[in-house]
Amino acid sequence: MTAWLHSLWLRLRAVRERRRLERDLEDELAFHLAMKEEQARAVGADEGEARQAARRRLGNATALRESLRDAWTFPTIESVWQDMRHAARALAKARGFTAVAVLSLAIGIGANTAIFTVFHALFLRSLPVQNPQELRIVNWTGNARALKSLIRWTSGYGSGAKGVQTHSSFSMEAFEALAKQPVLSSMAGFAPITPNVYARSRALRAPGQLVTGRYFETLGARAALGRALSAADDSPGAPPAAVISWRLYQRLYGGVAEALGADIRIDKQPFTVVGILPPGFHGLSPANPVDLYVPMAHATQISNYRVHDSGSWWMQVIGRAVPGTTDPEIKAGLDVALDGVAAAHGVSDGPKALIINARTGLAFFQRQMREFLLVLLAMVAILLLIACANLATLLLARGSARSRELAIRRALGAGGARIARYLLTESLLLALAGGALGLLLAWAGTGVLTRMVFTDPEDMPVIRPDAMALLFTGALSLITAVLFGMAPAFRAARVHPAACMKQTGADSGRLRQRFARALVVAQVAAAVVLVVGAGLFARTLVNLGRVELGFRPDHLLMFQVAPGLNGYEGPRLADIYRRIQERVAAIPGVQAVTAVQHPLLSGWMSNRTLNIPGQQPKTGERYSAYTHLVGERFLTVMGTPILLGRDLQASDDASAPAVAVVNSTMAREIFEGNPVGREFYLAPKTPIRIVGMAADSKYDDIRNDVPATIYLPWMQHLEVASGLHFQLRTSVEPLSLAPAVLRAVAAIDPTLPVSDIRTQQQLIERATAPERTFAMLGSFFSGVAMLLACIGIYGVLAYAVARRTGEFGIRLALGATRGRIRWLVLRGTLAMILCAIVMGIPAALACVRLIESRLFGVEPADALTLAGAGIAMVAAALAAAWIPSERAARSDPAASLRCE
Amino acid sequence: MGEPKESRGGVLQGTLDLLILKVLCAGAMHGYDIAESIHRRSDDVLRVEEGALYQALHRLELRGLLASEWGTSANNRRAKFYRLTAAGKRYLAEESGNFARLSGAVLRILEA
Repeated sequence: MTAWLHSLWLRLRAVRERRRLERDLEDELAFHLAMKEEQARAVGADEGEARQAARRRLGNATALRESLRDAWTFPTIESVWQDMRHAARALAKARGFTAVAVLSLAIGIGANTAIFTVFHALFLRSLPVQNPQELRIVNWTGNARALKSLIRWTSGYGSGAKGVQTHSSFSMEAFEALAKQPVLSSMAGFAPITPNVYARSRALRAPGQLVTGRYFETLGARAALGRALSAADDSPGAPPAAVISWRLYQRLYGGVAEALGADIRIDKQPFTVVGILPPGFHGLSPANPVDLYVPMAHATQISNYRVHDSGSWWMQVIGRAVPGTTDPEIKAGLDVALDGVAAAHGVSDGPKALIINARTGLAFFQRQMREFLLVLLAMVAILLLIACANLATLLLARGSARSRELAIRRALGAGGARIARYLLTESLLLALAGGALGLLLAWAGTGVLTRMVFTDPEDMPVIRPDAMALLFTGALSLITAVLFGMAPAFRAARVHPAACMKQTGADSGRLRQRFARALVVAQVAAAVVLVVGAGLFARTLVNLGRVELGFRPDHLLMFQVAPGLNGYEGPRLADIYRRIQERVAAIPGVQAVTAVQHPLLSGWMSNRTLNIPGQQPKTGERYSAYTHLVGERFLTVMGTPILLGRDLQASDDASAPAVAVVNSTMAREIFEGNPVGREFYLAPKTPIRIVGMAADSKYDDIRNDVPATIYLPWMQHLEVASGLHFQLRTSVEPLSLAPAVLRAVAAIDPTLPVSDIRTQQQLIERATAPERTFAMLGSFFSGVAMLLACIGIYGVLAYAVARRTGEFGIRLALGATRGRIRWLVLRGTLAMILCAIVMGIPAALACVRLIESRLFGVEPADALTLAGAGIAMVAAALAAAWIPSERAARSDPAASLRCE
Repeated sequence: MGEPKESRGGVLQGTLDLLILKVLCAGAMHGYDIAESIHRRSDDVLRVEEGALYQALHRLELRGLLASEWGTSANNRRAKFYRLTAAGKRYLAEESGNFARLSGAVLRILEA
């Protein structure tokens, strides 16, 4: 060991004092030769003879000196270093080539890294808890219809059409039965809440969770300050305790430690903050951070969950697997528990447990977001492939241009492997430079991307490229370099020196041309896929913008208050709504005020079944319609025309007869004529009279058809109006009124938080954000892809034309017109492009099938888009081919005749 | 040069190392002297090839068995002198024992 270190030390010193080492080696051998000469002279040889004899003895002095030098230095590292320096110099000289190669790789690698980073942070990263791989989410599967007598009401996530469905939630009774099974070492239930929070004179609405006693124990998560909730906190009569996120700690308490033990009002109920979670902990779903945790024991006070109703299945379940048990074993144990619950309610075939690995949390529930990122990932992967093909084409062309240089190197004794290594070093250098620049792009890109993914800036986690992303970029760069530098490198290494020293080297050139053309065709085909995708999204976006909304979205500010959570009910609730309405109506710039339970196009909806006296539905068992709880003059304020009868008015209050307005779809589909004056029932014994018919207006989603809709005055349905979104029609920029709105509400009740202040237009933009992003990024990426394809075409043609100048000259001399020569070149390009389009369009159609659900008003095989993409590609290709074809047409016949 | 049979490559690498180390027991020497000394002390039987000699010298120096310094030769030229280090002495003692055992064994077989 010490000997090895000693040697390393000597060698490092020798490398540092390179010149001295050279001189010493030289001197030592020179001394030896001198001594030899002297000896030879001493035995009578003359001067020349002596010298020659001495040199003969020593052999090849240069080789000896080199082998001695190698012993003292690090020959492999040095020659690699030499290659790198040489490659860097060569690349610096070929400025245009290097710029195109590095930039295209940087865009490709940067875009991939950015999207991978966000995807990884949201969907692949393990939860920051102990042994996250042991966590299991429990869902159930079964036929909801067959289980109707057991499970009357579910909340949370459900999927699956008729037949077997999957649901995320359990009843308290089922949870307790599951928790008794020993197959999971620890189990906890949780359910979402969004309470009104009030602390330190600040009121806000925060995403929270009700959690059972062993929640934090199961997760293996600890508090950063104070303590997490424990089973003791979840027992009846325990002092009310809550745990808050680091983020809420900053927002409410400004990050001061006095928050521990401080009073916090949750839906007006007093709680004590006993712990603050660490900054990196966002709950089970990083995409939907949770700010507040409250023991399940308080569920009846701060939620509407029917906690102890065995027919209500509302609680999600997470458990920790006992190391060594398999998921089928866990499932078998839990199935026994569920069968027991079912049997207790007279159901023979109970729901079956579904075990889901929750290492990454609830990421699998974020289907939309994941789909969104996957589409982007596919786009940028194609882009990277194009950039790589482009690099390979450029390297090939460069290889052709310097085939003589390489042949000379070979002739001078460089081995094929050595030349290949040198060329690989060049592409490695390019890829590393591209990767480094790409990382910079990715840094900026993740910021932009998170803003696109998280439309609500308050939910937005800070995502930046981390070690994982760095690894990803590095690997990507290396793979790029090796994969796409390999072929040109080996091709160059195989070149026979003699063949290349000859003037033309036609054979290898033709081979290389064919390869380069294949690469260009692949590149153009991939570009076609991107262009088609971008075109479809652009048309989707245009179509979405053209949709008839049925109301005026501009100059509309909205905000939500939920006084019901703070204990307001009945007349007091009606009173505070009325006072808020009056206050905000008085704000200068507000023209009219109304309210609605679910803002239009927010994705939220209510659907109710109804009975109509003397009428039976033609299909299905009962009539159903979407309902809107609205304030006075809602339709008028929103700008939806009243076609028959009247709008809802302030006089339609709790003491007045129950009334409603329906839309024309409802009139057409259910009443088949004028609905005004007709009656229907949402609940027995309370007939609701229709007083007006409004024009159709979009309900929850721009993409959906207008459903049969009933507008009901909230004043007559206070029991379901614990929160409302006020709608302000303004004469000024809507958001400029936000501070005045906050002041107005705070003046009425400072503990009542205002949430979701936004404009109708923001809401619409948010709903169409994925399409906008796809269209924008897609256009940008396809622009880059087309540019790269054009560079590829230009490169290949320019080289081909340069090689065929002589031929063109002869053709001209034999009477071909210049137009004909130009056509000769363009024809070749056209053939390449058509070949690429023929390959690209089926590939595009296959890819587009994956995004079909995202399209609106346009078929995946949209002829116009396909034709547009084809024409764009042909036009771009011909533009790229124009300069080389001009050069071909200008070939000088006299010059080529002289030459041949 | 009409030498008696040269043992070209016949001097195994390890053996050459031992010879160099042994010769240097007498004191610091430059490369030429070492070659001459081996030649002389083997009664003109062994003639070391210069290339191999210098490679061995540098290898031994890198292994820390020899140390070197530049000095002036007897005829007043700048020359590189090699001398044995403590590690070199230890190594020589160990390896010459091994070598004696090995060559004894070979001899016993050849003479049997």
